[in-house]
Amino acid sequence: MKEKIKLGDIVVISLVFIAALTLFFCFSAPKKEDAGTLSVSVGTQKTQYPLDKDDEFEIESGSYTLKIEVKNGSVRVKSSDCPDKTCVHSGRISKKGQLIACVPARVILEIEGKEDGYDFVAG
Amino acid sequence: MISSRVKRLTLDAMLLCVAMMLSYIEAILPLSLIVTLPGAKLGLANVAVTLCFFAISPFDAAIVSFTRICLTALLFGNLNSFFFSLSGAVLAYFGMVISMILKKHFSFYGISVLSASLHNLGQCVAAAVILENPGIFSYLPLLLIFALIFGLITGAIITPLSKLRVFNHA
Amino acid sequence: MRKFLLILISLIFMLTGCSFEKGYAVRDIYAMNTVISLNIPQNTKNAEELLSKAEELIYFYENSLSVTKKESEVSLFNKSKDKLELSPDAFSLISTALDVSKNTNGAYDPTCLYLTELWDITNGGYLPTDEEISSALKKTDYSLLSTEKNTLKKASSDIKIDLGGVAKGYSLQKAAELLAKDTEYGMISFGGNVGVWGKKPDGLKWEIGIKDPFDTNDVIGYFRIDGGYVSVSGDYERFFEKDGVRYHHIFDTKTGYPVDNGVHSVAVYTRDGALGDALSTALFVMGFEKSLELYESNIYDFEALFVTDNGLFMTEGAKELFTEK
Repeated sequence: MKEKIKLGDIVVISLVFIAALTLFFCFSAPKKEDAGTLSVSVGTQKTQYPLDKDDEFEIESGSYTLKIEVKNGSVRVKSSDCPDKTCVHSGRISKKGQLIACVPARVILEIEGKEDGYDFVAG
Repeated sequence: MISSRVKRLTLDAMLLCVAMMLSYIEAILPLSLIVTLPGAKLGLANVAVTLCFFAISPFDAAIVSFTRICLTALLFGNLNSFFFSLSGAVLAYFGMVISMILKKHFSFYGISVLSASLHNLGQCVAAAVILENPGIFSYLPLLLIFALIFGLITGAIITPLSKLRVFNHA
Repeated sequence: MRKFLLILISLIFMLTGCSFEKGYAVRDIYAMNTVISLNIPQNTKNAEELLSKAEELIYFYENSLSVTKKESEVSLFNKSKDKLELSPDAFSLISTALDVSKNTNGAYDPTCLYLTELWDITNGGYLPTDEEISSALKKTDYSLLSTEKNTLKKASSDIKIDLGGVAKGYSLQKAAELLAKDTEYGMISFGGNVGVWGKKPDGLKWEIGIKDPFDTNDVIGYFRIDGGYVSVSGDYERFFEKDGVRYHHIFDTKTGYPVDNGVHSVAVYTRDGALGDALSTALFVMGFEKSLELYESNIYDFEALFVTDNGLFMTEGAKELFTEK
């Protein structure tokens, strides 16, 4: 009773085949990259910002103010009134695993969630 | 004459054994040498579950399938692989329920292909959720093609087995 | 009815399958004059408690090993006339440091405190005169240090040590070991040194990017590793510029000046955090050729990547770990 190929079999087999083909073409089409997020921690407080939207904002921490710039998916500390300015000199970060730290102000900027990047960046 | 309850229990146990053996064979087969695709499996254990579903009862099949998954995860896998197989098996079971309802229109070939495809879909969903990586869906088209091929193969295995005398009036 | 029940049960199973989450519980710490980021899986039992334990451990090491803490063992030794009995941690660390000094012929030297204080690069830098340098060099010599039981001795009361070159790697390893006991996997970034352990849930190896010394916003490539420590010494980390010349923080203890041998950064992969930290400095000073001799002598188990004026150079094993971007 269940040995001959039946109508339902043909329907299922062709459906699966068509689904596989369609999905294959969907996925091989250039996909939009996950823009990732910027995670800013001030002391123990953590805030997330989108990376795909250009933005400028200030972070106040302790007695210091840092000006952060988000542009074209990358982040930098534009200016800071902290004493050593290492954060400003750190330049731009744009890949997962990279971070900028301002030790005196206790602020860390980190890129998260992006496909393009590493578990961590050393150096 | 042995009571039909005892016979049923024995058959269930036997099928579970067979399913476990098949899972083990799959686990040691160096399939990854041929296809480096996470989650690509022959789905041999499905032979036992599908037989159980149609030759004994859907209820027995659910128990055999669930027990197999628990045991396989305990023996050869981990928590993640448990959830992968579980959601795969749940969807595959769903596929068998559908083909049960429409049984006039299906042979074991169609049933196997349907449940194998749904099984892979379920695994994909579980993997994407657990690993929080939707990128896993990019494997889905290939997994579906595998399901198609292996489904036809398992269908070809089930068809003669289902005619064995032990399964009559189980 | 039965079918309906089956579907319901199926749905429940699927939903419970969804309740798992991947992601890290993160703790950022400021210690040892740098930033430390501890990352363990979010689903770890008592994750926050565990992170706090690791945090305390790092503060403990900071208080014991930092040269800037007045009551640290290092400071006490520097103030002492001839010897000091050390805690097991400090002793094990100084032993590693001295061992590397001997085997690298002083390329790494824990007695370089006078030099670092003289150049004062952390506070903007100062270009010393030749006399100042030679007087600092007179008090820089690891061979004047010796150990006996738990005691560190110095042959001249002028000798001062700075374990900055190994303490970070040591604390990194100790924190990683503490966390690894109760977690499946995780990672720590310790001021540019990275430690990872366990197997990631996606089954892939750890990918540790290595900063490009010529463009610190970018990476030159990455190490793909199972676990262990990656320590980097680079001339871009701390430096000052005067009259168009760049003076960085890694000194040649033979000349007293920043190393100028064409090397810009060295990334070292080891299973021993303190060793990796000391070696990254030593190899930087030695340059690739001499480092290769040390590598082939098999005294230490490490792999290294050099970024130099003439391109990239690697030890044999590093060629397998490293992927250039």
